[in-house]
Amino acid sequence: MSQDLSHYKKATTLAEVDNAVRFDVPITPDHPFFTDFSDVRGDFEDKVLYKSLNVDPRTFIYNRTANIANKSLIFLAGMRGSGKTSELAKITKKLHRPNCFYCVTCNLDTGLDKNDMEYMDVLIFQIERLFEELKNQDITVDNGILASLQVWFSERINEVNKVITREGGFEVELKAETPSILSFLGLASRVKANLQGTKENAEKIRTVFKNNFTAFAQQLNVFFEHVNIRLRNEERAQELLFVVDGMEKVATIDARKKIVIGESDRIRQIKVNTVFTLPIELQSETQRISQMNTVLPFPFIKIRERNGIEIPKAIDRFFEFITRRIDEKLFDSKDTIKKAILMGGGSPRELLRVLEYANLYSDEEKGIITMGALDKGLKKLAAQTAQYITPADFEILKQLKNDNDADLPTATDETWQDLLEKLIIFEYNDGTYKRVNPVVELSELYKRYVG
Amino acid sequence: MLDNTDNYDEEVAPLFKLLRTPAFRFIVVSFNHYDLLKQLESDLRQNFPDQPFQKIDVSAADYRQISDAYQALGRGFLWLENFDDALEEERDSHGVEYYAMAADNERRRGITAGLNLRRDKLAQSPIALFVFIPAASHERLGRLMMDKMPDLWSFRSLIIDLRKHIEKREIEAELRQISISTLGGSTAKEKSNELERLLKQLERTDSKETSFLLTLYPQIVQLQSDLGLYKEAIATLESWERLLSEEEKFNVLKQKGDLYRDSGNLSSALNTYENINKIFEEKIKSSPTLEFVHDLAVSYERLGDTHSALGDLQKAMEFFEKYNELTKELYEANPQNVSFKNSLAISYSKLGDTHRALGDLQKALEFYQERSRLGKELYEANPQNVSFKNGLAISYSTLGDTHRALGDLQKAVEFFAKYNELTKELYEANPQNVSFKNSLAISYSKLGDTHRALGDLQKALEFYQERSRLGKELYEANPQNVSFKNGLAIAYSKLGETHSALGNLQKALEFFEKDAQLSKELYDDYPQNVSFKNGLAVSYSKLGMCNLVLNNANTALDNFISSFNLLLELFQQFPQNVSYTANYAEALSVIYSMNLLIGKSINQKNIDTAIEIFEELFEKTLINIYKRKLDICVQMKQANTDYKKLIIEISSF
Repeated sequence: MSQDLSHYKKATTLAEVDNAVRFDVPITPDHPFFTDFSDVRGDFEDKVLYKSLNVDPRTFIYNRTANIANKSLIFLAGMRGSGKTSELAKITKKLHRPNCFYCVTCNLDTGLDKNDMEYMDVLIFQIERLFEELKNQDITVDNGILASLQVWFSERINEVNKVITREGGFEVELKAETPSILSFLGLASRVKANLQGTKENAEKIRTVFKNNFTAFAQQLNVFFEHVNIRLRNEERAQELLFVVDGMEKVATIDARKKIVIGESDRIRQIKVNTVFTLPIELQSETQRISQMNTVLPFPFIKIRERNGIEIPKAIDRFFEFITRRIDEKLFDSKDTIKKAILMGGGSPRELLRVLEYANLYSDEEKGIITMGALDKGLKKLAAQTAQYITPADFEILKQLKNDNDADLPTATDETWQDLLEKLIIFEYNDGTYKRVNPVVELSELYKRYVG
Repeated sequence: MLDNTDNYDEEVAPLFKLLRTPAFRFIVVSFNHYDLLKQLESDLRQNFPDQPFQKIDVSAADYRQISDAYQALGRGFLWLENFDDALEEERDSHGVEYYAMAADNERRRGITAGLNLRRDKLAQSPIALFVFIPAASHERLGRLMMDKMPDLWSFRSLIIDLRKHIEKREIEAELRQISISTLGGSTAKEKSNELERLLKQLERTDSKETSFLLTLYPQIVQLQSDLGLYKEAIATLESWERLLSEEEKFNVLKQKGDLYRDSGNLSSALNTYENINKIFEEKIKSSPTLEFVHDLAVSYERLGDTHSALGDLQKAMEFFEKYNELTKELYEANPQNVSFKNSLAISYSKLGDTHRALGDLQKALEFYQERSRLGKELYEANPQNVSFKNGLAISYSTLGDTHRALGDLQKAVEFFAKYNELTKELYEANPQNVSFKNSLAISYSKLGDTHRALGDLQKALEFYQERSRLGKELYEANPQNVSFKNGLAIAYSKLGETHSALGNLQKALEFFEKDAQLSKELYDDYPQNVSFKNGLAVSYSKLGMCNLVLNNANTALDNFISSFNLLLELFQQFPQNVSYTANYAEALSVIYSMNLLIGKSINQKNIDTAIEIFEELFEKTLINIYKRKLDICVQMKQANTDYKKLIIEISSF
């Protein structure tokens, strides 16, 4: 079974449930499984994102004249399993239209193959993706502008090759070609390949481009703006929008910080509308990042208020989420479905995991998922999740529980970040509201330490 | 204490359900025995014969190799064995990453970062990606996985925790090796002569010649100890002690405790060590010098050893943990002090031994690895130091033992080969050193055991023959040495088993008879020694089995009855001991079946009791072996049964 979405159908038998609850398959907005959670994510509303992009959320028309000198640079920060990729797919679909944007998506995890990534690698990848789109969609560009960019690029590669030759190594292949979209695409692809090759070559390429970054940015900005004009003239879109997904998976926390914060000046020099996904651990740095850009927290769906009261609208939406994937008659009762929803804590992925476990422990003879099977699966999941929590962590969970019981916000610091990243704690709204993962609360260890 | 109840069926049921649908899966498997992995592999291949299967040893691979293999596989199962290697970076005991380690650590980082970053790409292929981590450290390794691969971790499909009960008999409880000095020669005769000379010298020496007396007493005590004359050695110590000031008595007290321990008088040993411990706890309050702190640490070690010998493993653990804590403090405060470093290494070894005795082999392994790492550093920094070399050799031996008990025979062979190499060098450089000769003999025995387990009986035989040759030389030169005698008995037993497996039954019988003779002598000399009693019972049982196969049924029955009588005593003496209870039940069933085989009158109660015992044991422990033995006993009750086959079967595992 591949990731061809046509294979993902609603389960009408127990045997089909496993396939229907897979959480490693990103769902596109036009797929029957897609559920729109935008109006139940607490303080988050997708219209804020649209407005940040100067797009009217009612008409999805891009207002080019507002803030014409600046482009939008948005960081979408969310926990793992919150549905960022699906949400971005939805947003991209809504925005990719003649009155709005031409969206170019760049998935760093499938598109790049290097552990020690830097911003330069991301930028070269974006350029490669743009040229792929230009080629595939037959979008014409001015030869003069293209030639200028290609010549400048080639000169930089020559400089890189001189250093490589001097120190001994394999040069980046430079062909003598007439500037064209195809030839530039080839060049960009070879540069990208070398960035993913030996560490030595990658460093040399990055150094040359960094040393000439201002000129590079100027060349690129001219080209991007030219493409915008072409898009308008051909009535395909008003402007380009890059959607860069996967930044949170880059190697280490330090590497991610280096890109987002360390290279923020360079990022801002590139004048093109871009949405980046932001690693969750950098949310504590949002004050620093947001001085320069827009940071939008993308929380889990809020299914309970701080005082524990359930939010019916959110629960209903999750009901829809489940029943799109699994026929309701495969559950013994609505109560079982509701319990699974509450145990998911507002995370679509964690809910799917709960359902997967319930299915694994369900009785094939009965042919349905019972409350008993759900409880058995939850017990197993709870023990497995809690076993990695240290006694010091449990002290934090105790504090969180007490604050929530008293309906008080909890002041947090970096020590909480680890628990957020590990999904021991879930975050809602703008991050001021947190809860312990409901599955953790079920565990014997939690009951022993926290009560 | 780790729950090592068999849980394979329960844990893998959801896994097999999950794997019915080919899709990307990320499965984390923690395990406490390699047999479980073999079983899992076999079951996967059997249940999914059309799914390609590939294994990669992560400790010998980099990310590129894993990625290429993954892409080439396309579908099926990819096993990443020894995944813990990728999660933990190598550093020395000061936390420093040396040049030699840096490249390997980068390889490790590349694997975890690469798999994490490429999560979505991995998810595009319908491959079940298994990673394997040892159960003893799975919480720590799980946290490391969450830190280093948080995105891949969030895609985990299932975590399974496979446990197998590890029979204590798989862990060889060797008789404690008593070290023998090089004083006075290498044979008992030479040492006796030297002792006689020194005792005469002592008699002739004026009591006012304190300094001279203080040079004689230590040698006399050592020789008496080497010769096993423990009572005499203790008396000499007491004379020696009378010449010393309070400050100087510690070492003598320690030796006294050690002599009590070596002679089997554990209660006196305990009293002595407790006194020493009290002395140093007091001394430290007024004068916490490094020396006193170290002496206190050593007293904890001795207390731990004695409680361990008395069977109180929890208490032993407490003392060894204190020992470890103190030696760690000493070493961290004085990293140049090799003595402290060595004590720290030993403390890890003790913790490893205790966890092993408690059945937690993987935890034991972690401690042994730490001991070995420190041992290697000590030896490499001090290559002329024979003691450090020997310490390193012993650490390899324990690593080999533990890997073997865990079922990883290839790793066990590697470590035993290293052990053998080092002990050979030690013995060749110090041919008068009897301890080194004995260690070399033991290394051959371990190589033999492992090759036998791997199925290479000829190779095993060669090693056992070498072991036996050395063992005979040692015993003949030191006939009072109980350890050497016991070692030779065990060597004969292994030769017997190997010849039996090779079909050389007459040869096997000869060796079992030799084993039984030596074991009887040991038991007759030390009737209170439980280990010797059990050893003799086992010898009789093996002799009986050999005679049975050779169709000497009546002789076999006599052997089994001799074994049974001893096992009955052990069972009555230690009714809580599961192993003795099981052996007793097995002996009952064997006697019952033998009587039926020969046509003698039977006592129905024997087989009924055996069945009852195995039922209880299985209910209490859920260990499958007891269920199988129970089933065999039930078959024994049926008419027209092949009793000979059932007797051989029940004794085979």
